[in-house]
Amino acid sequence: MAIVKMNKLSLIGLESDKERILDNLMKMGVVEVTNISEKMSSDDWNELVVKDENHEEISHLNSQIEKISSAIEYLSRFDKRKKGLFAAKRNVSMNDYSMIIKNHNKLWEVISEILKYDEMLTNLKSEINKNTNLILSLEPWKDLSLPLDMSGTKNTTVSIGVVPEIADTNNLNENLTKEVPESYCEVISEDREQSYLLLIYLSSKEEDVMKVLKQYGFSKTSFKDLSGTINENIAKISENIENFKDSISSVENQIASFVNYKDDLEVLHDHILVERDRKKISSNILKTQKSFILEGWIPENSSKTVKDYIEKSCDCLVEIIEPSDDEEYPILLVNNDISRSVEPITQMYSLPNTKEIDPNAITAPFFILFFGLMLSDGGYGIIMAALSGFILLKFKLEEGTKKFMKLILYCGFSTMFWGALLGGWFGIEALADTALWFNLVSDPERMLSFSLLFGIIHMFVGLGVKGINLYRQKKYVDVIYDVVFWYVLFTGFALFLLPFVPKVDAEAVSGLVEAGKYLLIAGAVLLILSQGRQKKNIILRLFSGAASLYDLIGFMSDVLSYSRLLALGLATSVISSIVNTMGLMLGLDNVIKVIFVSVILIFGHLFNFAINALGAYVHSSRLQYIEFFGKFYKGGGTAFEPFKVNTKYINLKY
Amino acid sequence: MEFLFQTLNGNIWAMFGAAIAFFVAGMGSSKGVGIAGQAGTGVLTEDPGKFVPVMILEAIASTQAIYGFVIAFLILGNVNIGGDLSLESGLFLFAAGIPVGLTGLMSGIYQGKVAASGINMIAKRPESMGRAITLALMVEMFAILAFIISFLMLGKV
Repeated sequence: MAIVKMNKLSLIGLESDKERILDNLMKMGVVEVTNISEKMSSDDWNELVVKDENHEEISHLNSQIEKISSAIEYLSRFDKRKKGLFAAKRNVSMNDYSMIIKNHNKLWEVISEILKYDEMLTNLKSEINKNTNLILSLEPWKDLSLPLDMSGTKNTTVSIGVVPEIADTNNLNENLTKEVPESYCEVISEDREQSYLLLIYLSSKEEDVMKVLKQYGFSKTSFKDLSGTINENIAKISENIENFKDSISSVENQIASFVNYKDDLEVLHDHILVERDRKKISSNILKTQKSFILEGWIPENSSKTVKDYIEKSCDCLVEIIEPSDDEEYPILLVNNDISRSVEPITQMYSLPNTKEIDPNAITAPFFILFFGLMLSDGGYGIIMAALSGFILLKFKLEEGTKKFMKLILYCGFSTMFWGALLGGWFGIEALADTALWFNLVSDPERMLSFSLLFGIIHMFVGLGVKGINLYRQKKYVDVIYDVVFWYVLFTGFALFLLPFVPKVDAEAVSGLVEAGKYLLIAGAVLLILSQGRQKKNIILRLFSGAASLYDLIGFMSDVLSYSRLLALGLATSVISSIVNTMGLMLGLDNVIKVIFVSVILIFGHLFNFAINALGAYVHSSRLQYIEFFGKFYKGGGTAFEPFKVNTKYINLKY
Repeated sequence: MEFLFQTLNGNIWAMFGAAIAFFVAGMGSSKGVGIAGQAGTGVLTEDPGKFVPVMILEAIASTQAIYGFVIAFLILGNVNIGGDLSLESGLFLFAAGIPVGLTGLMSGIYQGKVAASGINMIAKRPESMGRAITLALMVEMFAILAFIISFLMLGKV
């Protein structure tokens, strides 16, 4: 239940064994290979070694991977097989694997075929686009009965063009008839942007006609490559589009005929992916002419096995050393089942660094309990636990999904627990009295006091963890100054404010308040004297000591922030009883009404569950991040990323 | 003033309270979710794969309306048309609607803005989802406090 201790591994081997050693390391998957190229900056190293790089090969492999991926993506569109809700990687036996890889030439043919068809599809689609646009531009001229290639007779000119919508076409017509009587102008159609005109005039008068038209912003339109009337053209183009569509579906059928190769392509994809990763790791390695050196991190408990195995299989030198105290190593967490389920939540904040303890074991119970309290409806808890339990049993899940399902399972149990304590079962009011503790809706003030109490406990635990971290770093004095003194002050402050908390009898706690007063004063004096201890000047020291008391305000607002435990719990309970009231308002006196009511109830509760489960999740995380982690957690560790076989589609069975 | 306190009985005041609790908080959430939604569509055009985180961030600002809805509903539970609700109780209920309504308005809008910039942040750094949510939740606190106050005020009637 903690951070795994890491050892430093360095390996010197023969260049000729390199592929084999890397292959072994990859299959074991327990060594993170660190980049040691910065050693090249020292002259001693620079004379001996060179970087082992092969950018070209890697980028070649990358482009291959890209091609296979896009082919797979195409095929998966035509893959009619049913896909599971939680798709896990396929198992492939070594035998099948090597058969498929041996056949890779055939597969590459398939891929190039698919990519060729893909290009055809792109071309066809752009043709369709072009033609659709052409139709759109012909559409306004529909009523023009003259053929498009007719530009005039011996003495007359026929032309078409547009004027902007604002131009007055009647006025234009009048003006034109006045200036050039030997002309004809007709408005073919109008839309929101422009008017479409047909003009016929004596060729010799062209200049005069143009002079008039210019005033109205006329511009000529021409359809160069078209002949025949507009309607004929539209019909022809539509037919073309239909043809293109036919070709598209025939090309798609061609692609679909390759669908059986999809599985094999996935294997090839992963094969090349692994190959690429192996080549890529070389950029972290330095080499001389005949040997190479590699450094990395390895978990302490597997150090010996790996060393023995590699030294036995090849001629090489493996050295394992423990890191020095202040050296940061990559973080690998090992936790029990419950703590592991909240790892992603902690990780979203930050990974712990090597000097602090892994907070997951302490975060987990608080996160799960707070989630349950904020959802607070046992009925919803049953559903959560049942669904996630079913999925966990029934499906094979990836690691991340599994963790999440486990978290839902535990949160479901916690929700049931709180539902039983507070009497929340689908918001049914008759069941509210079954509360084992007290009913949340009828006594919210009591819950408010307890929410604040839970908050104080949560933060005191956080402060305690800070003490443990300081102790582990051997800063024993700081444990007293920075933890114990704050405990004194916060306890005093909390006791002192006790009479202001709802549902607390001021008479009964007067003794505690008196004690709180002394603790508060004692804590304040101790902190004023101790908090400025880094400062040399005595006045500055006292001053910054006094300033640290400002944290009391922070403490108070942190405690109040836990009132959300009440608010979210209340929201769930009240909304679910609202859903019930609204649903049953209709009555249940005939079948249709019963169906209707059940639909309302189901959707209402689903909505309430969704919105409040999301709320409980994010708010419970927030209480960890701000109020809890704020007390002790530094974080900033980097994740342990071992050099291993990393596939996308398949699991290879050796 | 005379008109307000003589013509309007307790029931009508309570109705006003319910109206304020919901429609003001509802306006806040509508605006907030709207702002976040616009930012979201922008990000989704570039990267449709981010739908789930974007949707979660967009939904965050809707809680204000939910709190308002709950309070409004509880106020309505006290209204008794035709029967009599004393003027004092009516005014109490009216006052109880105000915190959740007005705080919901402001907190909804600003939470939407924070959520919108959070969405822009996860467009560039998907791993910052936790931070984006946490920042948006800071604004939520005030709506929560307002909800608790409104609820406690209701308990006094």
